[in-house]
Amino acid sequence: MIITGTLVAPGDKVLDSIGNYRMGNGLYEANRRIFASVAGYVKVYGHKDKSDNLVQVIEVRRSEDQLENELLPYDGAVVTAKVMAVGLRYRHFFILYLRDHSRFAKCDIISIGDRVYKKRFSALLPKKKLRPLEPELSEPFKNFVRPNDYILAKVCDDAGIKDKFVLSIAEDELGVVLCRGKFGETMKKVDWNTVVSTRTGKTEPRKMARVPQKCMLPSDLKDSTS
Amino acid sequence: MSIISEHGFRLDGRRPAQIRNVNTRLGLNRNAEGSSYLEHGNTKVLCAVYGPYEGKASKRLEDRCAIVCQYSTTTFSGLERKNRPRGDRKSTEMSRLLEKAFESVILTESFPRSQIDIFCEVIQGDGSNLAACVNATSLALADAGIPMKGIASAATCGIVEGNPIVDLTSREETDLLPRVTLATICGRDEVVLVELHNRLHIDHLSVVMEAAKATCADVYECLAVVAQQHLKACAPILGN
Repeated sequence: MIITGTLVAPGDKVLDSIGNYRMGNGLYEANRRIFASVAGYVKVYGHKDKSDNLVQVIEVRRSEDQLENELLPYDGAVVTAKVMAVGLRYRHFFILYLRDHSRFAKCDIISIGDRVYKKRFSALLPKKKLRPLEPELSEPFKNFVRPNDYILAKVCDDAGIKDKFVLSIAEDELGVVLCRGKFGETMKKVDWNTVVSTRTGKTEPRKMARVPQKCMLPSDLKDSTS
Repeated sequence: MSIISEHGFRLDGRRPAQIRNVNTRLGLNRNAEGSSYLEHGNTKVLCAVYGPYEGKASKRLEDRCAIVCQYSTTTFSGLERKNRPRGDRKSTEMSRLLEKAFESVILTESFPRSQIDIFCEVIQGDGSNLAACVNATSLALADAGIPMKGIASAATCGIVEGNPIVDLTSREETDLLPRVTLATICGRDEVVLVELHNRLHIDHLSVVMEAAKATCADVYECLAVVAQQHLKACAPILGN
């Protein structure tokens, strides 16, 4: 029987059978036995599933910080992304640009939390995920995000799109954090839905993010404990 | 000159079933997700692992991740100075072998539509280059935290007059000596790579394979300890 906190290497046997545990990250099953797939510490914790039953999850973690354990953007993670283009998903649809009929904004995920990815991941921000309750918008993206904006977004699961990461900004804390105007000048926030150019004084609509002011950094945590 | 002396020692003073010193460093390359430096005696290999990332569309697979390997040797690594460090027939073959081996080691199903790049560079080649590359790659993957079935370990073994010798040096390799490179997962019976050079008598096959398997298990012990100790050493920096 393996105990919590044991250091394991990839391929080490963790359990003879899964038993009552639920399998978490860093493990795989072969011949009904459970092996570690990464080097790390064994951790067992209680987790409430959808039907509110408490299940014991066993997993192998490299560090306490979840960001260190995930190699790719994971479901529910808050990421920083850059809006690359607002357009149709399928280019071969020939559309006269009389109105903005776009269904998706193409984004590149730059960082997750405070960890910057070495390579960008492309993602999609669908029209439906712009705000929580969505009546059909005629020109959706214009009032929320525009190309070259930097946004805070949440990675979410979408049944229709499986080949790319799907982002959502349908929360007050999510939205545009940095944007630039036509001449590359900075745009200042007026209120949560408007920005104004510092050069021309022109206002543009945007969905700004209410970034939480209280930011917990690892150094802050250390200070509070000591 | 005989490979095993009358007293039972090899040219560098080792016993037939003795491996060379293993020296390792992990996490040297800041740009890579995982990297390692590995020495088997005088064979020195540097390995870097990039990814998983969204790779080229041409390489993309729907159900698992693509693995791209590049084996290269420095111009000064061998006995003769080489002008082409990579892209020749021999190193392309090595790249493919590494690719195939690690496709079955890494749990590729966990990253669909992505790509993992593995770069191995032999700085000094003193025999068992392929085995050293497999070992270095395993460590780099463990450093990157990429889920895999286990740490793959490899060893090259030869046979002299019916007696197996393990972890060959380049002086032993240049002979007409038959040699087998074997890679297993966690030193168990799961074989991910077999490569035979020169002709081997069928009666000797089982002997060589047994010796190679035992050596893989020995090398695995070294690698597993390194992977764990590196994580332990990094723990205070990561904040726990």
